[in-house]
Amino acid sequence: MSADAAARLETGPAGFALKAVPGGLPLGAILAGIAALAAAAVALLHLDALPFTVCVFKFATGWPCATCGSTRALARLFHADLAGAWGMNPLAATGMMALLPWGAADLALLARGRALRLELGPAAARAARVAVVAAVAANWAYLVAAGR
Amino acid sequence: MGPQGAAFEPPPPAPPSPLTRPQPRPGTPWEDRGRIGFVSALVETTLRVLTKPSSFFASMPVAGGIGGPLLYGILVGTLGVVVAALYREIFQALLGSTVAGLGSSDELRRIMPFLMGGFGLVLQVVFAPIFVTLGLFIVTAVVHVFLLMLGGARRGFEATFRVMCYSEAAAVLNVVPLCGGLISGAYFLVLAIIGLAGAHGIGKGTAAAAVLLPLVFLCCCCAGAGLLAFGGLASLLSQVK
Repeated sequence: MSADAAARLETGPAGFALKAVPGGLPLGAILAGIAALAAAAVALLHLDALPFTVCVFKFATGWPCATCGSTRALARLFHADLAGAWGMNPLAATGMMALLPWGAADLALLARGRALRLELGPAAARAARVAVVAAVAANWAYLVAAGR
Repeated sequence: MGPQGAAFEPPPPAPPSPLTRPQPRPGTPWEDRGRIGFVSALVETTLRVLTKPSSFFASMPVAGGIGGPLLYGILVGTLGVVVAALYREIFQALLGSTVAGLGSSDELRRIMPFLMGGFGLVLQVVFAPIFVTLGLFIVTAVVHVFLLMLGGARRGFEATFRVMCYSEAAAVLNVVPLCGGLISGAYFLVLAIIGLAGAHGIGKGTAAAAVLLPLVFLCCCCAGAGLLAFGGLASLLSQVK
């Protein structure tokens, strides 16, 4: 059996599968915990309102980097302003919001010693890779246009 | 050197096999610390990472749990943070604060205590293990997503995480006065590139791109929020070959 065919069997006809893997690393829970800490730090210390830029790329080129606006997005998420967060950095806001269900699922599975894992077949993996690159590029173009 | 005094001797590599299955890796001194002693393992691992990174990362297992490598990263990384903080305090006392040059505002006055003075030093030292831990996860997530985008993530997230943890060995170079931070930062990047190439079995060019591109395009400055988002993407796609 070819590797591609074996991968298709593993991931199902759609090319992907969500699995609760025994002994897996609960990465969703870890990253969600870090996000919660970061949100608290940003909101409590008002790190989204610093009077100077901490972005070396923006300082050097005048253009925002691909993560500019993320701190402000995090602060808005902390205050449940989803639209505001999305306006600041759509990809960062989407990614951070995705951490919530993922982290919750990992926490629920933790008691059974399992962790959630997304498995992609070769075709789905290629598509996902292209989609991620396109999303990062589109997000960056938006940040430049919006002057973040 | 260590309590037991036994030196770490990696077992000889397995003979070449016609099978395509990857050969088991012999292991690192740190992961053998129960036998050779905690201090011996810490010192020997650090020396091997710093002086023979290629052979170290070639022998490093890419699975088996993140607890051991994380503990190593926290210990050595914290040492680096503490030393750097002490030097900063000394130079600040001698030369004055560079933060003052950033101007004055309510926000700056609010965060000033966290940046300067004895209180800031204590905060940095006390929270250093937490910052190192968070930093390791965030940096790993970012680098792993770039590896995925470049098609270089042949092993899982854990392989990348282990490389980042052991690359923290570069933090001991913070003991060099004045330019220690710069040397440490630069050598961390070098170790990460060598480590990723060895752990994932990819070319050093791909590994270098995965390590250096985030520095250019993500700037690694925006409070980690964007980096977390990218980390989420990395982890969701952790099975991409």
